[in-house]
Amino acid sequence: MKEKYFISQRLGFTNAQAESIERLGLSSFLESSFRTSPEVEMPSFLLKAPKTRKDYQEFRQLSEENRKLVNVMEVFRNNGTAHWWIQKMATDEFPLREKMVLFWHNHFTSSYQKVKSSWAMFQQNQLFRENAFGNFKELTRKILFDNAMITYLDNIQNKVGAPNENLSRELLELFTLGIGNYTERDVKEGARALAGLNLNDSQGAYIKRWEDDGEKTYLGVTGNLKADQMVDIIFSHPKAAHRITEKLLKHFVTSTPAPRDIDKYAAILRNNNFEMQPLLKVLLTSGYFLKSQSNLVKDPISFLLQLLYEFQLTVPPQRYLVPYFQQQGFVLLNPPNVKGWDGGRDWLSSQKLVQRMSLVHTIATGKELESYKLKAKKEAASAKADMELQKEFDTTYLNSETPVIRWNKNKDSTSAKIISSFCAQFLIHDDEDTKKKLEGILRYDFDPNTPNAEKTVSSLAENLLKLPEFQII
Amino acid sequence: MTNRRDFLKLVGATSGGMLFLPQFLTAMSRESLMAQAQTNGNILVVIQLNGGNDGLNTFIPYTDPMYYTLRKTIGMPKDKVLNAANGMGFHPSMQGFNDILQDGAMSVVQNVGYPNPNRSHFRSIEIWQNGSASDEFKSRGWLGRYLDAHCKPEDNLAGLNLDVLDSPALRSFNPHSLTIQDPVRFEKQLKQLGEDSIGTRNDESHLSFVRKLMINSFSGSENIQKAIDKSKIQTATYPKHKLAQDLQWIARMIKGDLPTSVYYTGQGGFDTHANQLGKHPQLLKELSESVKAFYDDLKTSELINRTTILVFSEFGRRAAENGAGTDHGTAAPVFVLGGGLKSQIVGSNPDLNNLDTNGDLKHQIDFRSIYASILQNRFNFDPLKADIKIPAHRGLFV
Repeated sequence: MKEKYFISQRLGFTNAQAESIERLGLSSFLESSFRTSPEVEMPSFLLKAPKTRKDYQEFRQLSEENRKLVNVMEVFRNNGTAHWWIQKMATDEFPLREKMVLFWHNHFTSSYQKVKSSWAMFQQNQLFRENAFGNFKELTRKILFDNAMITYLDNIQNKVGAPNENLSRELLELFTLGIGNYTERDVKEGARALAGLNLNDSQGAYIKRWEDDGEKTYLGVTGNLKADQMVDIIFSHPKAAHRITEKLLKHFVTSTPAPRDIDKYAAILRNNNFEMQPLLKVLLTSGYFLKSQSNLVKDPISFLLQLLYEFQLTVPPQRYLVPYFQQQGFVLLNPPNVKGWDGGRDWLSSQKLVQRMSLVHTIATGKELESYKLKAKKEAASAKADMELQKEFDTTYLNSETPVIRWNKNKDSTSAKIISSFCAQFLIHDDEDTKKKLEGILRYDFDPNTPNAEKTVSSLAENLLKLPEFQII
Repeated sequence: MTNRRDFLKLVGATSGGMLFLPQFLTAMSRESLMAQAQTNGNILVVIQLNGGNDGLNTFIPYTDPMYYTLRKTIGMPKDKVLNAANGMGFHPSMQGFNDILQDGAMSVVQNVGYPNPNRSHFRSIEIWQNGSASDEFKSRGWLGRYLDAHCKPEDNLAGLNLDVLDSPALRSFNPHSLTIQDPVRFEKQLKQLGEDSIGTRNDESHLSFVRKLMINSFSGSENIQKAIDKSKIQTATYPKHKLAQDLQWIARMIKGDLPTSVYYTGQGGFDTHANQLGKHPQLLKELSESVKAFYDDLKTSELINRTTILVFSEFGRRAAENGAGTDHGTAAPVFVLGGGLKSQIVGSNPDLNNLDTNGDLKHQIDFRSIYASILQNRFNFDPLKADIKIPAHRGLFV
């Protein structure tokens, strides 16, 4: 694989950035990525989502039937956000910010299934976008006051006299220090310090009567501690940068980072007061990163987006993607548990691999897309399609194109050239055997000017994208 | 791929094949590639309850007043508990478990855990899946080690995991297990695929991992297809729960003589920090109804005597409630069902007056002694060969 494609896939999701990486050079490409604006327009489908305490008071006064209706709409809205996010990943000029949003989503996990508020999930997603290249310590502080997180880890129930340990435990175990760097007592004392931290408009706040104002001892520090002090105490711990650095290396470089590399890059994060940008700059321009080809298994979203990009398709409607994502065990905004996705070889199992291969077939041939369209047309005519969102997504897609493989079509396009360039774009490893095999599909006398040429190249791509070499990056 | 000829063509073993036989396959004969695992015919079905099931509200010490002191909100009223034995009883959602106990085919093992318990979901489940001590790290799962020691290197369907992720409990040196979510969909997708799917070379990289996975999928699939075809006629009825559907598939594969001795599946959602009264009864109902349907199905088919069902969770929950739920705890009951045992309550009742400094139950029986019993009594296998050093719990099986 040519380096520019490799970098494009690692720093984004597809090969779409290869040319700008080549043109700008890696350092300027990174600078441009850091400079992108995190601001987004609120998607219109969230307009009517309940957002404030007042909205939720009104919601509770609705009849049971109407509450149910709102809940159904809320699920649609949250699915809408997931889909909006996927579209953003697919279309951003500099997708590194979204790659980092995904990283934070997989670190400070929350799941709609538990949170049950589309607005809170969107706000959390936006918090990650705003802090994508920000400060890890400050993001940790902010996440403790994040409404979705407070709900997800049961801090709503955490009150003086009846502590709930969930948020306190995961703050230490998963979000910061990791097992072995704290005691059960710290978990209990942390829960007391977090008691009373509850939901509020736009972000959480302490509620006086549920707070525990007694003295606590947390990681060796004693006082009437609250969330802010907890974060300060945690981040003065020598291991504060390790866990996040290990996960960052797993996200960008290798599924099995060596302890000395974790130490090395954790020191950079720590020495820069937990600012992410300096670390990202050093890491993503290092030989360690550039020489890490084939050290990652492709995640389900990159796999999908790459196929869509190569066959020049826009992102299909959310519900058509649901079966794929469910089978891959990768439903955005609904991670399987608080630890998120481990990635690495867990991205694949026998069945997931087989499903990925059938996705290649589906997308390359466009067959099922046709039947999806038919189905959507039928449903659009029926009462089922009352959901505004659904209609909006489906109508857009009904007008969309059929798959057309991206290739360099000119009269000099020989079989050997096309095969070589496909291998350089898609395969982490190729050799004469592979090429010979591919020449069986695109023969030496291939003529790019025949009417059937496109189809033949498409079939070449389909075969190539089913190879094990395409599962690795 | 639906038959052996297609499969061999697929891996390039026939002259018409476009691909080359992978090196690691040439090391074994084509016959052995399709060979079946040699076992005594006994089968283990593991059901893992994810999130930490609240043992005290599953198998309830309802005659102990301390239970009601610790659990003012979520304690199950005496008159609702299904009386089992020894002053213990099942949650009212668990009629099915109670029936199996009365039917003589369930051992309830009380206070199961391990020394120096870890209250992290992820570490604790790892300890259970690897069959290790609290401070010990193993690269293979306890069942993976058993399969490595017991099977031929080429037995690639000795374990079957019905899940999205591979189960670390089945992680082995040689590929002995397959992970699928839904056998029928799996078959359908395999059939749609072309032949150009398998590469060459053999190294221990990610690439090699994907190649092996691919070959395993194809070869294992043929046997699964056969088993499903063989057990087409369905008589038993199962409830709609996800776990029940998984167990129904497992029953079909057992009935279809799949050469698999270990099945692994699970149920999620047991992390009841909050709203336990709302959630926990439904989870237990799903568990109990699903297992009962599976038990009845195997009993009718006269397969229950060959089968052992193990139900466990990574930990129990704190003895005292937190108001509306329970936080992470330690020891909890493990349920062993099926053939070769008589119904009994093993171990003494949870001692709520003698909790550890964290307010958690002290374990009494090490979970590894249950693993050892299963390997020894059901598979005639020396647990030491699977690196399980805690002796078998005598008296678990008859």
